[in-house]
Amino acid sequence: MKKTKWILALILLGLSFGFSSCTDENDNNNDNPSTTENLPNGVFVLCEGNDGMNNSALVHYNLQNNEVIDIFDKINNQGLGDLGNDMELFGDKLFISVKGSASVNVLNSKTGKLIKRIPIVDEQGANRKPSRLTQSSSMVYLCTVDGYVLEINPQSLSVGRKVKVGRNPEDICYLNGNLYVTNSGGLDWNTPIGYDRTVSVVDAQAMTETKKIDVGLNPAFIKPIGENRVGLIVRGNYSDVPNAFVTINTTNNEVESTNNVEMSNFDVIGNNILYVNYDYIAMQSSIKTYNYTTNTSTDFITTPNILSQIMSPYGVNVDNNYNEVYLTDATTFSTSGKVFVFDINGGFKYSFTTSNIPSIALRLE
Amino acid sequence: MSTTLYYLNSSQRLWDENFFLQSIFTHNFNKRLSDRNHAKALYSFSHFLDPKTLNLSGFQSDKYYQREYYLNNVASYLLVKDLTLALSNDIFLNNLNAPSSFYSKANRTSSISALSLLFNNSKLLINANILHNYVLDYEDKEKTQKTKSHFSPFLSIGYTWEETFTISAFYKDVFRMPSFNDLYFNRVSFASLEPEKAKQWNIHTEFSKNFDSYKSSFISLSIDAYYNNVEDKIIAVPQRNLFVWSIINYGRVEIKGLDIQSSFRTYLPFSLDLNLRATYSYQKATDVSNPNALTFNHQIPYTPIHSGSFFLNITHPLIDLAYTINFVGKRFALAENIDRNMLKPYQDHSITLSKDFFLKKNKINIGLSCLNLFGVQYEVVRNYPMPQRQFRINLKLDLK
Repeated sequence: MKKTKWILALILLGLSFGFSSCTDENDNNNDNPSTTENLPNGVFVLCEGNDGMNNSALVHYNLQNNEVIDIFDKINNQGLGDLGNDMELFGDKLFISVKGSASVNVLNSKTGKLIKRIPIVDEQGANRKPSRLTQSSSMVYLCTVDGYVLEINPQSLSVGRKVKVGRNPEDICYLNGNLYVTNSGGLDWNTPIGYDRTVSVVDAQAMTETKKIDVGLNPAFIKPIGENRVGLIVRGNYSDVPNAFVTINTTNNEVESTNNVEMSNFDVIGNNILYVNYDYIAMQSSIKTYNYTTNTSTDFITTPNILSQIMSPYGVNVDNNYNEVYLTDATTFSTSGKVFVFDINGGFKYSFTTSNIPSIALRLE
Repeated sequence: MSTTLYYLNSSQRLWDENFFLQSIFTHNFNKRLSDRNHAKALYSFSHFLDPKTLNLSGFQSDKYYQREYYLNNVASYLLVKDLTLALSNDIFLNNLNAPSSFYSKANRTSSISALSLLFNNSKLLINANILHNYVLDYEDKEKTQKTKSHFSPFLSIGYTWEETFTISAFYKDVFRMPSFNDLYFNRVSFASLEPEKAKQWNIHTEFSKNFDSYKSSFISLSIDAYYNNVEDKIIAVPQRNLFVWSIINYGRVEIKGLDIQSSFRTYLPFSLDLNLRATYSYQKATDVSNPNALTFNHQIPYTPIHSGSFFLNITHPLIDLAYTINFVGKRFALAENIDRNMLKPYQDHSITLSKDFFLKKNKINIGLSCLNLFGVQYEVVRNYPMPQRQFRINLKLDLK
């Protein structure tokens, strides 16, 4: 009796130590890559990742062997952070604003190596939430969710002057000496004051706000769409105030046209707009070329059976150097995304898988 | 894996308050018929504060007040020897007041009725019952009213040999309404959540033996094997912060599991009393909603396949020693089972030494613990690191 008892006890102990020692950790350190080597020709894709998940990534698609790698992580042996919001190429420097991680990461675009992580914090050290980037011929500009535009010197990589704009800027663009900033007021959506409805005009030379233009409820993405014109999306309130496309004449900084069009993101293609949208009620994607003067749109994709493969169209990037269009697909928003590449006429070329929520794609050779 | 830089100056805070009152009344009318009543009132309050929000007011403060009133009645009647018929009724009234939420006020009235037949002769145990769930939800903002009604059958059969070996099996149909937390604890709407429906099959075996020659030494081992099929499984995925999780229905989830528990106690020389307990769980919980999805057959988030614990306690008249290990295998923070979503396995060891002292008749117990003995950096929830090595002193006083 005594013997069986001890045998049973030993089995029990064995069981417990068995699982306390079998943690299958793969701690083999990644071989330290040589960081001075130039990257092969490819497409950089900024993947936002999920809010609060710290899984933003910069992936690189190799045009020679079709390999996709998490290039920022691999070269720099650290994650990009939480919510990579925008990517801007200035010379050989790639600027990436990371909203949740209070920083702008500056990379060498040839090697992928991190040159500097610029902290974007206020006087108390709190995250300003860097949002979108733009550039003039000599300066990089960043708008922050706490209501500012900051100047970043692309040579010294230091933050210079700042100017207060409206509530929760969503996007920024530069045209003819002025910065145009969309003030969304998004963080007050459920308070009595509600969304903002203005675009701030900032004189980039003086770094002063010269005007606030009333453009409609909840302005979002903004881009130059001609010599003297910027176009933007106003999102409305997702119920009774509809989504619209607004143009501003930059010679007098007045609203020129407002058309109700459902679009979530856009870029400029020739003299037209290329926009993407997903209708949550009809559960249908649309990717269209839009003429804002005639307010008419046509389907962009000419290859059959491609549109149905795009689950959640998200980012739209027109590349005028290579005459290509990169449409990003956020799929379920919590699983791997995809990039679909087209020629400028909407003919499908190829697609590849990325990290979560790809938004901005940039081909570099 | 690459370096993770943690954000060190989080200032989000969460307060919770709970209060309840209950009363139980039992009456046996005669040898055969008995009646039991149970009433309960419950109040809870939570407050989430993020003092650094970039809205106009500069902060986010969400308060949630919840009340629950509950009434239960069980009447049981002994039909013949060993066979009992019972009818139970539960009524719940819940209300939520959340001034800052999208849905500011919500009410729920639910009733659960069960008719059960129980046979028990100390060797054979059979329990068959049918349960009916009725729920009426009313939400103030959009004035929507929803009702749900569901019948759930349950059957279990068990047999015990000579008080040492038991084998039993059950089938259960489970219906779970999304709770107020699931539905409304958020600034965005999850009110379209469907109830979770599950079918469970379980086989349980248990062996336990006392060694009479050895004072109260004993050994026991129990094994449960189960298969669950869950439809519209309600799961929470943390989103913006620890308080605001996204609650989603998960289509169909298949769960195959095995739970093993064993314990052993004996006396050793030098007046040592040894207690050992070990548990191991295997749980393969996979998303089988959509064969074309990227996540088909992937383990669902935050559910380890392997987990377990080990507990050792040695008692001596002079000093007590307790050693605990918790083991959690690798998990995934998101639905896709790929490396970048993986949370590493971890082991948490802790040790406690304690001693009793007597001051006249009063007992004082002093304990010294070291938690997370090996200072392992681990995360239960992704990006929220758990404390590393900590020391704790406990003082317990029993007054006579």
